[in-house]
Amino acid sequence: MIEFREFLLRARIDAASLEAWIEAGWLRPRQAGPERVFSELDLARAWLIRDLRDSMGVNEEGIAVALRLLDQMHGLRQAMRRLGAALHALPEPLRQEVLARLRDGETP
Amino acid sequence: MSTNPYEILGVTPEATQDEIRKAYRRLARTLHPDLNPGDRTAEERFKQVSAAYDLLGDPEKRARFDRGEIDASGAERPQQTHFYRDFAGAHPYASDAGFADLTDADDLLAELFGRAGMRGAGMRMRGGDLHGRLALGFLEAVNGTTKRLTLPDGSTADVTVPPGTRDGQVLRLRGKGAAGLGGGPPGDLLVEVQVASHPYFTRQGDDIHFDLPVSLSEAVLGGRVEAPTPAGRVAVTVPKGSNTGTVLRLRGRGVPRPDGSRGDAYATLRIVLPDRPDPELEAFAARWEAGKAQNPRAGMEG
Repeated sequence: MIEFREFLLRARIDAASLEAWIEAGWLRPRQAGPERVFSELDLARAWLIRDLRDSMGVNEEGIAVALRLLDQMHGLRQAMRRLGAALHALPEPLRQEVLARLRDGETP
Repeated sequence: MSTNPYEILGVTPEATQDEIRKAYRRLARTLHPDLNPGDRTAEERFKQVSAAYDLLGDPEKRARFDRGEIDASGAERPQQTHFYRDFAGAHPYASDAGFADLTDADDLLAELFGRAGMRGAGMRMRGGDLHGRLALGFLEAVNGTTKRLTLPDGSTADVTVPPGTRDGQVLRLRGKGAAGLGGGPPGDLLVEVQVASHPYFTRQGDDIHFDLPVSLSEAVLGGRVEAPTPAGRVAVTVPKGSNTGTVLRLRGRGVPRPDGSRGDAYATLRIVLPDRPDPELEAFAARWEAGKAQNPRAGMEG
């Protein structure tokens, strides 16, 4: 868990930005007693937001759109992984049948 | 792949700072690893582009590079070690808004995509973390142990205390916190450890310090004595002529570290006279001229 001050230092952002990002719902720290704490994943997400703003010149509205699409993409990737794992666990003949159907481009 | 920063950014050496910045932003928008989560090559190219911009985006560094004072590699900044995309698996920010409609129409897809849990962005939430405390004995914390903890809901959990646990350290029990919402994963149980003191051991980092009493004859003549350490009793050689305050280092007898090694133990010798007055010792001290001449308080003022 990363505390607020440490998070600012490691993310290399100022407190006002962080507060604004939390306010916008872009980052969701967890409440540990009176403190808000962040995960490594939150930190990587903060880097991404910072890169969008500073390196890519995306404005606030653009960041909101980008994050929304990225979150959907991660949801899809997660679902894809689960689907892949479920297919992988099928008995071999069934798996072969699925593969054959995918190759044929057949839709049910 | 070129190492020339101008070629990497696709600008001419005559480009203005504004053109360089625009070129960088255009490439960053295309290559940023988090915008290309499935493309492993994007990260390498993004790093090259970032390094090139570090050099050329700063007019002063660019001028030094142009004069040949620094080379293209000399300006690389410490690179970010992981990107957002690298957190695979349960992504707390992930949303099903991209495919929720598919699962409405199809039982099989609904099952595969976890219909119960993923209903609208933000509805699936991880449970909150719970907090607890665990009191440990000094040696339990140093050597590691397993403790049974009663949770707020009345259930119990076995807490594995790893060797070398410190006072105030927080142990995380994954999934033992409050239940999640909408099929979200449960939170964690955070257990703060309180370590009691020990009658003779103290701990500094990975090292253990303690006073080791030795008899007058052991100190004067030297010899082998047994000393307790957290790692068990060890035989210690007391050098001939040791004094109170002499520190002996017992290598590898301290606190276990995660890598399997151990810190050291330090025994500070303390000379202890016989429990009762000894006539022979008194007679010796009475006629011992060098002992009478010694002033151990020399240098003490006040």
